[in-house]
Amino acid sequence: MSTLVEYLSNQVKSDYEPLVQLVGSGVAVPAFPPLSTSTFTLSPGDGEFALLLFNILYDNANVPEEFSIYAQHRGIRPIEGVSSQGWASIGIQGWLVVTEAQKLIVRVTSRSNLFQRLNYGFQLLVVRTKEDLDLVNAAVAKWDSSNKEEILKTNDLLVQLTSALQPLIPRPSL
Amino acid sequence: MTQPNAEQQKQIDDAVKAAQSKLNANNTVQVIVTGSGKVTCDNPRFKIEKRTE
Repeated sequence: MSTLVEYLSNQVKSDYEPLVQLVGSGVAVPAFPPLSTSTFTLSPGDGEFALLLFNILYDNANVPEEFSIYAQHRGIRPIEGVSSQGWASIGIQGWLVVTEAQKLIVRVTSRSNLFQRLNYGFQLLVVRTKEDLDLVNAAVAKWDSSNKEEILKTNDLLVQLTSALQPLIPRPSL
Repeated sequence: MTQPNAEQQKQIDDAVKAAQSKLNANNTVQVIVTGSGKVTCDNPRFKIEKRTE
């Protein structure tokens, strides 16, 4: 587990409630139709303001090279390619801040002539409110590691996280 | 083979429509979603079941 994930998971608010919750999320399709494409959308659920997504998991029991998958978020594609057995854990560059206005879109195309099982998931931190997201931003800004090597190793991630944690404000309706 | 009369043709059409309707009703793809977040799908055939542990 990333030290930053561990650090954020251990933060508490002034009322001693945890600032974020480390959870998982999974999608399983027991019989994905052959030669078809479907698009799945991940957004925060009830009582959730943002999902800080830091890892994508792909079940390596799926038949390899049967699915073409790409994920899209805020104009970038953190995942794009053909599934393989090596996709057990897909580290992504930086963090994805998934909100109602900035959903994660996952498009899956079956390349198989047969029905296939598809199973994938996410590791993420759940932020309950906008105020909590501001606190996460503040906590990340204060985050310090006594290990210099660790700072060097995680510096890129930190920069990406602090820049990513600025949610876009939805345009007002006309 | 003779052509079906109007009544027979109507019975055939009704049977085909009923079969198609049944096929469409059963022609769904199960999607099981667990954990946090909300997952939706653009394909109306995909029926999403949210499961909590």
